[in-house]
Amino acid sequence: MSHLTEMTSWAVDLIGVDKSYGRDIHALRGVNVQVRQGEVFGLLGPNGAGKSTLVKIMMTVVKPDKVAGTILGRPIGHLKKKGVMGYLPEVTRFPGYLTARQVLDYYARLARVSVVDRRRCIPDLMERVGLSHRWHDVKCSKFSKGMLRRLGLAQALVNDPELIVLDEPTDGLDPIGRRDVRELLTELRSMGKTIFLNSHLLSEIEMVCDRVAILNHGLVARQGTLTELTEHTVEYHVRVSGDLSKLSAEIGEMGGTIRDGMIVLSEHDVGKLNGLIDLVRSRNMLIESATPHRFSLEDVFVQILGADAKGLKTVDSEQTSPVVARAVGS
Amino acid sequence: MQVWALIVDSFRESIDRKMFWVMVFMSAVVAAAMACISFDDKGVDILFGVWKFEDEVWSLGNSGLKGMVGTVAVKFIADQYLGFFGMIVALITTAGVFPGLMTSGTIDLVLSKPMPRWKLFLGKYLGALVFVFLQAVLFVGLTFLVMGVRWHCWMLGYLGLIPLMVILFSYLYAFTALFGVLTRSALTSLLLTMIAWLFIWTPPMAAGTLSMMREASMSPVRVDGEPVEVGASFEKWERLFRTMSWFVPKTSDIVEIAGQWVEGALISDILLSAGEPESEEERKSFEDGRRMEERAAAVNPWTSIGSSLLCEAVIVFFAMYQFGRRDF
Ligand SMILES: Nc1ncnc2c1ncn2[C@@H]1O[C@H](COP(=O)(O)OP(=O)(O)O)[C@@H](O)[C@H]1O
Ligand SMILES: [Mg+2]
Repeated sequence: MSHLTEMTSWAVDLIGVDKSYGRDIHALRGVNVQVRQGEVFGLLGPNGAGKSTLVKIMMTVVKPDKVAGTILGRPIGHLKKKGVMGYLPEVTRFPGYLTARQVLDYYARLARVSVVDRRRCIPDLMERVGLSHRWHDVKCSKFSKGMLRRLGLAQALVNDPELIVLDEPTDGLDPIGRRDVRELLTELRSMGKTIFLNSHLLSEIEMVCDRVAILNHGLVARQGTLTELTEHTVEYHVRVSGDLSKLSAEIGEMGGTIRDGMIVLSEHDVGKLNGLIDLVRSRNMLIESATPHRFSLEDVFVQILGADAKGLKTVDSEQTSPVVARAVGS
Repeated sequence: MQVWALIVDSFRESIDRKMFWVMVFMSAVVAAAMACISFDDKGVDILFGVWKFEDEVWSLGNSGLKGMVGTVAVKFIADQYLGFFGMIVALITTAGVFPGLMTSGTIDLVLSKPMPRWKLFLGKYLGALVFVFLQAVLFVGLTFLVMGVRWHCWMLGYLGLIPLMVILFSYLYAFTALFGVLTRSALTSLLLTMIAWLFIWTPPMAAGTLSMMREASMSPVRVDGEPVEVGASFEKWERLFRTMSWFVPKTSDIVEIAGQWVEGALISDILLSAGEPESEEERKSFEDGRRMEERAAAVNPWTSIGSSLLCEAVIVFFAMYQFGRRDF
């Protein structure tokens, strides 16, 4: 997997995206994101991290201060390429005087979809996002929040896009709606579409994404596949029968900590693990279990935010991306 | 196709507004009120025979009736009703177009479509003009028919008010769009447009007034028996205002042009039908008519509208530039 051969298949390849709002808010500080063609890419980050700013830049709603790279092989804003992109903004406001059908027709016209295609695909599309037949010709001012979100999704798909950019698509949806969206995303992926998904919801990203970038304070803290992100962050839990408290100093010297009555080694170092086991055994205590504990995406997320809160340097994707050794025993 | 979609959407948006129907209703009321008046050989008939006033001047017997109706049309309809009241109502109705477009949730959707920002801007701008055009067609069309059918005054020149009113509106709307883009507030942009209107109305108006005063004083005024050239002192100011007028859309010219198109044609009609002047009195009224025509002709419609549209284009271009570079 050389970097060069992959270049051709990047759907999104943005380098050094930088954006300030006014003098005080530095929303993006040189973000790099790479999305492969045909994958579901998740951009995860706390509120205010700059996720929406990044997708708005991709969709030319916001002008970046600095950017290099391409989307679908062309610079940002290339009209032809914008014609094969779909976008669901974080907030949508549809003209209340239009029906669902008219809304989709209007945005399809703006997206240069032909009359024939509009007639053919708009009813299908409404069914696909779960707007049942009786809502097709109802003014959308009467729609609930969830239905507007569904209409927004349909709007993003109205030109049969290659690249679909969704900013918090499940915002305002109930659990059923969320499941529907997940199924829709899976379906779209199977059709070979590339999906760029913004979310602050871990579970959502974890369930549907192939690759993930974690954005924090305008910087990509991590970027990679789910396994890449979670595999090198492993800790070992060593459960011991007996009182550990008198060993705490020695355990600490060897890099471990005591938590909930067990020894926790927060790094992937089999040598140290065995050192700790030897220590315990030498005191005639019994090991009940020693388990590698793989971090969930949530743990990684919290770890990154925590590290950031402690003022540690947030690393950029290029330095971190792949990979560290696999965890033992997993 | 995209611009067309935007225009259609503007139209749908406007008929969704109450203001649209208020305007339609007002046009109907005015036309109906005018239809209640009719002229016959003897005089005026109001409310289909309820009141009758016998008056030779206001009767079909008077060949000058058409001219008087034309004057009324220009003075009241073009100058005051459409040119002032109508403009304000139209601006109120359309002031929200750009601020509305720029609200979060709306702008994100349209900007993500494969369409350059200038096209989006122009589509919305044209949409507002189309709205005003339709309203103008409705009002001018109705009143044209009423004046023709009920008053026996068919004045083709009167239909010229349709393009003239749209042009006048477009002069003003350039400001509304610009201020709308800059402030994102319908109300603020409306107020700023009113102020701008006052500013751009001043130079051509002042120049025109000064020129009239100068002409009036051309015939030497005698002070203590000595002729005094008063005109010269106005000239400097007149030239200043005239120059300034080149750099603003000339809103006040529109009524002058309307006068030319409506009254001017009528005056020539009257003069032609009157034939050669015979008596001293006739010669005098002939001269009066001439002078009216000439004064109206002092404004060249093509130079005035052309240079005004150029100024408008500059403002629209600047608004478009501002719209094109900002974040949403
Ligand atoms: N139009 C704007 N003007 C000024 N500041 C903004 C604007 N949009 C976003 N911001 C700021 O930029 C930062 C990133 O915001 P955003 O991209 O919306 O983050 P996220 O989508 O990850 O929650 C926030 O601090 C936000 O307040
Ligand atoms: Mg956001």
